[in-house]
Amino acid sequence: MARFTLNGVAREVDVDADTPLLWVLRDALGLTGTKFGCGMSLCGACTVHLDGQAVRSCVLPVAAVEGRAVTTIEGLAGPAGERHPLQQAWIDENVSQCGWCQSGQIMAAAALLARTPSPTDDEITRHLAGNLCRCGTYQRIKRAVQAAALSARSDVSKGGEP
Amino acid sequence: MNDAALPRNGDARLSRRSFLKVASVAGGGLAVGLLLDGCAHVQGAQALGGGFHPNAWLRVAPDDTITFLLDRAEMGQGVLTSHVQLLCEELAVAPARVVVELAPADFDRFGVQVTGGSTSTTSQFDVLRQAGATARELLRRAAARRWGVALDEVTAADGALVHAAKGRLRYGEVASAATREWVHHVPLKEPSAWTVIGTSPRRLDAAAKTDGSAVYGMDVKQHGLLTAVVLRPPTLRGSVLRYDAARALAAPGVRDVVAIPQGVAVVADGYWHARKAAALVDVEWQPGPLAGLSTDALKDERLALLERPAQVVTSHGDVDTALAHSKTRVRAVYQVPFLAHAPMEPLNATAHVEPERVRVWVGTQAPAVVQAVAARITGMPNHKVEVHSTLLGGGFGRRALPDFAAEAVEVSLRLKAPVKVVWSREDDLRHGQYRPAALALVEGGVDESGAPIAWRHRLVTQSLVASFADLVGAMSLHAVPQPILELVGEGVGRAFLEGHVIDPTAVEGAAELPYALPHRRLEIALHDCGVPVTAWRSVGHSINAFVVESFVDELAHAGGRDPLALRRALLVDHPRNLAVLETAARAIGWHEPPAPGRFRGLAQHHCFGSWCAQAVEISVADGLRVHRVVCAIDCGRVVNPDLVAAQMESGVIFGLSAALSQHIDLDQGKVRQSNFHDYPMLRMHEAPTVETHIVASDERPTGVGELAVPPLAPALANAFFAATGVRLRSLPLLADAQRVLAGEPATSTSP
Repeated sequence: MARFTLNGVAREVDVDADTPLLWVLRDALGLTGTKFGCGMSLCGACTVHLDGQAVRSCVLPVAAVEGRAVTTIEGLAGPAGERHPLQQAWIDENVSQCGWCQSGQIMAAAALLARTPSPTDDEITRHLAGNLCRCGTYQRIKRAVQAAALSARSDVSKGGEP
Repeated sequence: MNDAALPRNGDARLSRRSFLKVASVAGGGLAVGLLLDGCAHVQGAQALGGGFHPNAWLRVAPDDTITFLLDRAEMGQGVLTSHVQLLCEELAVAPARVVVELAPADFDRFGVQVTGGSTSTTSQFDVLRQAGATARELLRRAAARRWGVALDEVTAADGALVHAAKGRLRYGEVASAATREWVHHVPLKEPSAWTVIGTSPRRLDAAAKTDGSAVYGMDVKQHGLLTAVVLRPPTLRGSVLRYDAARALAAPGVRDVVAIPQGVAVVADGYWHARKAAALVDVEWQPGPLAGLSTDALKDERLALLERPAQVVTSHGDVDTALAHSKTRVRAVYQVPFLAHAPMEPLNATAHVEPERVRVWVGTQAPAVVQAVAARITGMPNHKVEVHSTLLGGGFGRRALPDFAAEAVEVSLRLKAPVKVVWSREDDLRHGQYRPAALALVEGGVDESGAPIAWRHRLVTQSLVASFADLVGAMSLHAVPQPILELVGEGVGRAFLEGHVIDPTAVEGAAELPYALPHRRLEIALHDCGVPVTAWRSVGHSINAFVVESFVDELAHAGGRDPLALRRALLVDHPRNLAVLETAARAIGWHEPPAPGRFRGLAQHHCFGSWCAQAVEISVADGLRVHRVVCAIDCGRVVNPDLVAAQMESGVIFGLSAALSQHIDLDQGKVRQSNFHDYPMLRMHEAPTVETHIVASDERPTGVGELAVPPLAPALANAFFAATGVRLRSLPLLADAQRVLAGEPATSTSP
C-alpha cells in the first residue's frame, strides 16, 4: 500500500512498491495528464512535482514518494480552478502542437518559476534542456515561460497573488 | 421574398455520398436538402440517408451547441483549428464557439480519411466552406420563414440570425426548422470579405493540452480495460518459434500470455505488471529473412548498384555529351540513412472484440485502414467495426500504418476483453517502418562561363509504395471482393518492385528540377533489401532535396558563382521558387557579410504544392552550432498564419534532428538504436531561432506540414561548406562535422 498526497489530497493505493509513479498515476489513479515517452528519464514527458521539485515519474518507484506531496498537471491550477500563469501563457502563445510532451514541459517550467521567478533566457534553456519536444515548440516554450514570469511579476506588483 | 420562393425539402433526393461528391466540386452546383440535425422532424434527413443522420461535418443542436466533426487526424499540425476556421468563415460564428468531435471511420461520409501528404487544407478548403455556407443559408431561410419576412432582410452574424424589426434568433432556435428548408447553390464569400480565414485565433485544442485533459490513444479508458505489451522478435521480420509463459503467468496482475502474428503479448491489469512479466517469458525466435543484414553490407550493395546504369526516370538533352564537353566536372556521392519517426506518444491502440461488434480506439492517420484491417482479422463486416479516433501524440507518417491497431485487435480477439496495447520506446525504434536509406551519385558539368550545363543523377533507394501494396489487399473497399483486392495489391507491389512503374515517392523532388539545366537525366535503381519502410515526414523529398540542393551549391563553387546568384540565374522560369528564395535571402541579409564567425547556407525546394526556401546561419568555433533558420514559404492562400509559422518551426527542428544526429542501423538484422540516448532529438539548448516569412499569394492553399523538412539538411551542409570549405555528403552530418573541425578527414565524405 502506497500513501502520499496527490494534488493536495491524501491517497492510498494498492500497488507494488516498485511500480513507477507514472503508472500509479495513469493506470491505478486514472490521471492520464502525465505522459509516458521513454521510460528511461530521457525525455521529460512524465515530469511531475515531488515536494515542489521536478522529477521524472517514469523511473521513480512509488515507494520513494511515501508520505510526500506529488503534484501533477491536473493539480497545477489554483484552488478555484484558475489557470497557472504558465498554462495561460501556453494558450496565448499557441505553444502546443501534438501536445504529448507539454504536461512535462509545463511542470518542469513551473518548478523553475517557483524557485526563480524571473529566469534569464539561459536559465530557462538549461532548466528545460531535459524535456524533449518532437514537434519543435522550443522557441514558443521559451516565450511562454518569459510571458508567464512577467505576468506573475505584474500580478505581484499590483498586489495580487503571485 | 415570401414562402413561395422557398423550395420545400421534399425536393431533396440526394444521398449522403452524392452530397459529398457535389460538395467537392469547387463552388458549383451544390444542392443540399439538409445539413442540420437535432430536431424532431427529420423527413429531409431520411430522404438523405435513410436515418437520423447529421451531415458529414456539422451539427447544430436546439440548445445552440454547434458541433464540428473533424474527419482528419490532429497530430499537432493544427487541422483541428484551421478546419473549423474554414467552416466558420461561411457559417458566421466564432471558431471558439464550436465544439470539435473527432469523426469515427466512416467511408460513406468521409471517404478514406487519410491524413498525409500535407493535403488536409487543400482538400477541405472548398468542401468545408461550402458546408458552412449551406448551413448558414438554411438557418437564414428558417428564420425568415418563422418571422414571415423577406430572406434578404435576415443576416447571419456571430451565431445568430438578425432582423432589424424582429430581433435575434440563435442558430439553435431555428435548427429544427432549418432541416425543412432547401437551398440550391450557395455562392462562397469573396476572399476580400473573409474575416476568419487569414487570421490566427488561438488553437482550439490549446487549453486541453495544457491541463492534462486532452485524450490521446494511450489515455483511453474502458471498463475492465487490460494492458498488453508485446515481446517482439529481436530481428526485423522475425517470428515466434515457441515460448514458455509459465513464470509470467504466475506473476502478479497477469491475465494471459498469447501468441499473435507480431510476437508474444503479455496481458495484465496495467502497464507495469505487463512489462515486468514480459521479462519472465522465455521465447525462442525464428530470426527470419533479414537475420544476416547489416547497414554496412547494405551500403556496399547500394554502392555496387550506383556504379551501373539504371532505369531512366527523366531525361532532357544529351547529358553524356554535355558532361564530356564541360569545362569543369564534379562527381559526388551522397548518402542518407534509415530514419525512425519516433513520435513522442509511443504507439498504442485499444480494441474490444465482441461477438457482434468490434470497437477500436486509436490515434491514427488512417481510420478507414484500421477499420478494414480489424474487419479482416475478426472476420466481421466493415460496418460492424467502429474506429474511434483520438488525438495523436505525433504521427509523421508512422501512424498512417495500421500495425499497432492490428495488434490490439489480435489480443482482444483472444482475450475476449478490452485490451490496450502499449509500445515501449524501444519497440518504437526497433520495430519501426523506416524512412528508406538511399545513395545518390551526381555528376555535373559547368561551361567556361561557370554556368551548369549537365546533371546526371543516379538514385539507389527502396520503393515504399511497394511496401503499401499489402495494405491494398487489406482494405476491403466497397464492392470489391477481398481476393481481388489482394491480387491487385500483390500486382501493384510487383509492378513497383520490378520497375514497371516508377515509385513517385522515390523520385519526387529529383525527377523534375526547376533549374534551367539543358542536359540532365535521372536514373533509379531499386534496392529491395526487405527492411520495412514507409512515409516519413516529407517522404522522398527528404532524400532528394538534400542531394539536389547540395549539388547545386557544389556546381556554384565549381563555376565560381555565388550560390544565391546561381540559383537566381537558373530559376528564371520559376517565379514562385525564386520569390521564396529571394525572401529568405533578404531576411537573413545575404547581401551583407554575416557577423564574424557566422556562416550561411541556402536551399529551396518545391513540394506538396508549395514552395519553401531556408537560409541557415551557423558557427563552428565552438563545435557546429546552428543559430538561426529563416524560412520563406509560399503555400497559396493562408488559412492561419500562426499555424503556418508553427509548422515551419516544427519542420526545421524535425529536419535538424535528422540532419545532425539521427540514423537507424542494422546489425545482424537487429536495429541497434533503442531510445533517445542513441536516437537523439534536438533539445532546447541546441535549437536555433526560426523565423517564418510568408510570401503572399492568391492561389489555392497548398501543403504546409512537411514543407520545412527538405530544405533544412542541404542548407545546413551548404553553410558548413561556407564555413570550412569541406563538403559533407553523408547524413547525419554532426559526427563528420566534428571530425572536420578537429582537423581530421570526414570519414564518409566521398572523393
